[in-house]
Amino acid sequence: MELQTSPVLTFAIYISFFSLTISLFMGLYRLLTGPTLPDRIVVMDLVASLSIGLIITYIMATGQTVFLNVAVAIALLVFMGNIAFAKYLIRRIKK
Amino acid sequence: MRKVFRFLVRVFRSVLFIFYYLKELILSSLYVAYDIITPKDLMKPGIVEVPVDLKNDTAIIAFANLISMTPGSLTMDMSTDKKKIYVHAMYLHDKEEFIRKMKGELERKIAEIFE
Amino acid sequence: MIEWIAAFLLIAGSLFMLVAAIGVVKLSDVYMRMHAITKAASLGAILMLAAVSIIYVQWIVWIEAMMVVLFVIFTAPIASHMIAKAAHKGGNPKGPGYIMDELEEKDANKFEKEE
Repeated sequence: MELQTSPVLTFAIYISFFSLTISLFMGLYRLLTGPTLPDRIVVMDLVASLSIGLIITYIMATGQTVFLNVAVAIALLVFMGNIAFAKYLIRRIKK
Repeated sequence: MRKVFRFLVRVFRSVLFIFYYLKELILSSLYVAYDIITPKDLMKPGIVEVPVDLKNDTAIIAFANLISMTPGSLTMDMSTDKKKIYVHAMYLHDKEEFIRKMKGELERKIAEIFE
Repeated sequence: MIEWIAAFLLIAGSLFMLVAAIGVVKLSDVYMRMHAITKAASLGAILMLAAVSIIYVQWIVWIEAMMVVLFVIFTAPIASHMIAKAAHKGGNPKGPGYIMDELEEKDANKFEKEE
């Protein structure tokens, strides 16, 4: 990928991509080994924050500010997803 | 005229509340980061019930959110008559002191703003 | 100068997210992990959005960044509170070292009445 920014910002963007990727793998570990369903839902919340971070880093790298719309959509949808999962958990207990 | 003035005071207080909320968020993130990075097994978690005296629903929601944002505490549940909030605390050394901190600092601030 | 500030904000935000991920792997039960997610990950997102709105000086970027910040800081505590409530109601196993749990009585008594 061709970065069109100053050297300082380029360095920051590389660091950011690196640490976000490592965080994604940590989330994957918890997703695979999490003993119960709520553990995995927590990972969903984490991955949403991480993808907002990835989108922002991508915007910084390429200058395409249109993708900020995706961040808005993710921030809204994850809240809905959490509420739906909570309702599902409560309903599953009752049965 | 007086209504307009009261409305403006309310808006001003809400803006102040948002800044206070952000300050608490930054502080508690630093606390959590410190707790995660330093390896220690001295955590004393516990779930405490905190009594609430607020009447307004909006005020109760703001109080619950603010509790989630203060360092080391997380709102978990609320009783059906809206009189108690159940709070998960990370470091629970003294229950009375924890409740006093919640009631004294945070609830007073919420009551100033919303009621 | 502005680039230095933006670089600092970007690195700080991504490090907060890394800390949240370490917390998700390392902490011992669901409620503690929720502490890490609610605070550290939200602050990370806010810092990175601040970096974007410093670099790109456009109205639309500022408005959208503001929207994301408001959604994140007001919905993250509510979401974690819902999940924690449901998890506790389902009897999710707690980690070691708990010194009290006052929510258990409520869950045992009023299981049928609520919702």
